[in-house]
Amino acid sequence: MEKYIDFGIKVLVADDFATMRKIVRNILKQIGFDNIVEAEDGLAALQIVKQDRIGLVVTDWNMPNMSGLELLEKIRENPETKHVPVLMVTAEGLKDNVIAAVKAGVNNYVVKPFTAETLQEKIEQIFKKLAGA
Amino acid sequence: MAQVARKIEEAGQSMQEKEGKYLTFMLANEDYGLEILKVREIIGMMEITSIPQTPEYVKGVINLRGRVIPVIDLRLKFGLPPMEYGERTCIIVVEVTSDLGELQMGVVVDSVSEVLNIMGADIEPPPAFGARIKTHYIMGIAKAKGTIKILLDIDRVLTTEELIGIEGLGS
Amino acid sequence: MAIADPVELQKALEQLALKVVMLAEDDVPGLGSFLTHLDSLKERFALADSAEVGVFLQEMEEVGTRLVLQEVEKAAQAMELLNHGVTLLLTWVRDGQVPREGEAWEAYRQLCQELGLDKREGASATSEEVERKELDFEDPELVANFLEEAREHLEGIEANLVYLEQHPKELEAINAIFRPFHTIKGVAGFLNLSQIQEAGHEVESVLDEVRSGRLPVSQGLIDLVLGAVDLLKMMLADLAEALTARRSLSVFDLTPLKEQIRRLPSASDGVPRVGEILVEKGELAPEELAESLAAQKSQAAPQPLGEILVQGGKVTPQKVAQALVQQLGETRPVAEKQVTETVKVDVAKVDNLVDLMGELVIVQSQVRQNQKVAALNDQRLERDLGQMARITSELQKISMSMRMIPIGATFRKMVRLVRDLSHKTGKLVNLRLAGEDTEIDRNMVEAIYDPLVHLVRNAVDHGLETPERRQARGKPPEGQLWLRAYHKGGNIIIEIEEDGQGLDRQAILARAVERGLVSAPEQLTPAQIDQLIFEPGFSTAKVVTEVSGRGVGMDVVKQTIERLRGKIEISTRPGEGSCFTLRLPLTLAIIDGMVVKVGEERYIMPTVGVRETLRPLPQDYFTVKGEGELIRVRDRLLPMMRLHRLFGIERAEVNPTQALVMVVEYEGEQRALLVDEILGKQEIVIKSLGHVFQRIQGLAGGTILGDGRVGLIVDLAGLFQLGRGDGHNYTQ
Repeated sequence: MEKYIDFGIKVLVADDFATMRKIVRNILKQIGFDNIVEAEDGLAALQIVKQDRIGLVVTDWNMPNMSGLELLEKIRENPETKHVPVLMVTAEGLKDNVIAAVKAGVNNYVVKPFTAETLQEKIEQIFKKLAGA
Repeated sequence: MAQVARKIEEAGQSMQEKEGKYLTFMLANEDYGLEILKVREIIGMMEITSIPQTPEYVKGVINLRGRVIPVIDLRLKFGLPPMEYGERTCIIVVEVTSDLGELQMGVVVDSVSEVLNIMGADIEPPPAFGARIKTHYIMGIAKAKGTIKILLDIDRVLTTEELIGIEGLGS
Repeated sequence: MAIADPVELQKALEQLALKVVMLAEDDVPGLGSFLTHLDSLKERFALADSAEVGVFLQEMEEVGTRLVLQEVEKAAQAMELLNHGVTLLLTWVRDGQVPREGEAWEAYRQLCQELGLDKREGASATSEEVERKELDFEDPELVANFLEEAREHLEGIEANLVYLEQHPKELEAINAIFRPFHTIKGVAGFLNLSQIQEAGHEVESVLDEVRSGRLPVSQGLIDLVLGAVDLLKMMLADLAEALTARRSLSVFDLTPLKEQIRRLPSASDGVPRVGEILVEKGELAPEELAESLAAQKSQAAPQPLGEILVQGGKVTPQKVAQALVQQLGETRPVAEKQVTETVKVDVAKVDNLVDLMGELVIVQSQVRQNQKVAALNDQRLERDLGQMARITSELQKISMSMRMIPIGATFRKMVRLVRDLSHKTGKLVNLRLAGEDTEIDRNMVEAIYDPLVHLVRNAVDHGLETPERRQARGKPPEGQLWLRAYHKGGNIIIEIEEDGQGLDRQAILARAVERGLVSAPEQLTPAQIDQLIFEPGFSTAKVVTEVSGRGVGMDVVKQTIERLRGKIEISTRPGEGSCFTLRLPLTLAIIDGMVVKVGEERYIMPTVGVRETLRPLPQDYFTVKGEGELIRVRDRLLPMMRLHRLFGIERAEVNPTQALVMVVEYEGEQRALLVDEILGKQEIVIKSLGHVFQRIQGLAGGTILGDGRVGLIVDLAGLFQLGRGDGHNYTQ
């Protein structure tokens, strides 16, 4: 499975709760990613995606200044960034959110709380699909 | 050996992040640089109202379009010999991040030079010792246009704890 | 039925078919694309209402949604269904109708049944719990971080709730309150903190309902959220303790919270159906309604109930129309408490505006007072200047009022506090609020919150007696506590009054003597004894209760009020009760000041503290060994304070007989202040010097003088304090 994932890519973690970012960062490290940058709201995240070469965006849904959904939409709107894979972190039970994100072009979503295995699975799914498998 | 190499590489990486535009200025014949993103404006010398019970390097406050902002003399802050303010003396208004939020402050410098685009490759980490000013204040040393510029971490230079930790007289 | 633009429609459907063919089960982006395409089909070709295919599209959307949410056990069949569905649609486009027979149709209907699409309930019927594996994030550092952040987030909620109470439709406020609960819940899940997670989840669900408009913002909701915040705070405190003491977490009972949630009024409760309205009005019998509803259910393409009723001859069309109008009326959003329209403006902008208005008032009055202008003696000019003054004054009032908010919100916070206190102390308290609409500058509201809390706590803890003691004294068992606010003479007055036991002057005196605060107790008047409670470190409570703390309160309260340029007074009657009165200025920003020159600097003395100025004669100047310098003013000797020395000012006039002495007074004490010159008297707009200079004693702020320089405003209290240490303090 690992042949689909390039662990050298830069991963952007967006969440307004620092503890949450830390947790996600830890999990990502467990999986094998160690080039990770953080953003605490959608606006900052968007800037980073525009200016940096981001290989994957892991974003929370609910953030001040710009939500995860808006971030996704903006990423998809811009021809230079529209191919950046986005993984949305949502909370259990908020189904409308998931549908909205999916319609807006999110690559995959994961429900909190999740284990390292689950996150890896979701990320693999993304890259497998992108590889055309 | 690998560890050392890794450290150098890490240091190199973090220097890379310092790349960008800097406003350069002079203090006692040395060149310094400030991240342009932190600079709000540059104004000529003006009347400074001094505030009692503050350290020497806190010159006082000025009126910046209706707002009262503090002014620090960088020469005095760095322990350099004071100089009389002349034609070229300026106040650079910076916005620093402190735990009290974003603060605007003015710093007095001998003269302002120019805005330079400094590449990461041209920046070296600060020396462990021997520099005239505290290494704590230095973000890195840059080579640009044939001279060395000392890049300042202005947030650290102007930490409010130092500035407000003053005991009042007679209390 | 005619199809609009059949060529385009065909193309669109073929594209849809392609997407379906390429779909894999876990293909989130693919499903997303499919759903979006469906949406656009419905929109572009208005197919949702189509009698023929509307249902298909709906069913396929349902299946697609369930696939995304991973709610389908038989994913393969779901994919098949989509395949068949698309085939049927293509047939429809080609032939003009959907074939209700044949292989595709049969297969499709079969699959619909298997997947449970025939039931008209939503996907909630099959929502499965995402399997939760055992999580192992017991990292103490993470937990500590979490605690800190969670607390911060919770702090923000109360303020937002107050705002929400006044602006119930503000989506941003609701979001701001929703987010912390959502986040806390999320992280708690990772850290295996199931109770916190559950509590967070309960509130989050409720708030989500509010966000989507299904639940109104009611008083009950606000109370609920406040209660939930308290609960979470307790849980977090417990977690913190458990962490350091290495014990397991306490178990919290969440049922009261859940009960409260259940009892919340829901918005949808209020919207009745057409059928219900008709039955209520007596136009329709309940059995007839049931009959018609059943008929509606059995229809392949269900008609609106109204139509069925009319067709069946059960009601006239007019009655149906009336019922619909009524239904519409009730679905109109519930009016906000305040009908006034509001605009959201950056607070910084308002502050800026108020500042500038203040300056305008000053400058405008300076122009009017300008001698040369007066000398012109022009009637027209006079009239115009007068008009300008009036308009400016009006503008200033309006701009100030933009910063004013009713004190009611703060008072209401006291309601909960009093309730809690009453429980803890076992005393019965009847809290009465008056003047909730009285407006106060928003910058002051935060500042007076703590003092108010302290005074209220004091009132309940020390002021009011227990029900038994009250009865023994012939008082009703329930204590009265009043919180009043009103405007008077340019000030806002806040009164905290209770009918308790009043101050125990004997105890106060005893304590003061014990603390060495008074040397001659017999000489104090009752009023002076009362004032002793404001001395630092004072507390007559023999047992420091959890409720009112360590007696560090009253002096801090006084200082806080005075820092706002206010005053606090106490009036008490033994056995009958006490009343604390806070007097605060309405306009924070402008004071009347005398501009003085000391050396090259300009300082401003608040006029309110200045008694007189004089140039002392040599015979009025004394030095006393060990006491410092004195100036005789008429028949009194006043200690002299050298401003230039206290503030380290160079090149000032040091000879009192060549300078000026300003007699200033603060709290009954007078001093003779040495300054070079008096430059004038004017109204001053106070500008804060900022955090950097907050601790400087003797300065209250700064101002921009006419020549653009910054003048420093003297704080007499601080100055006197500085002076006490003086005597031989040289700054040079």
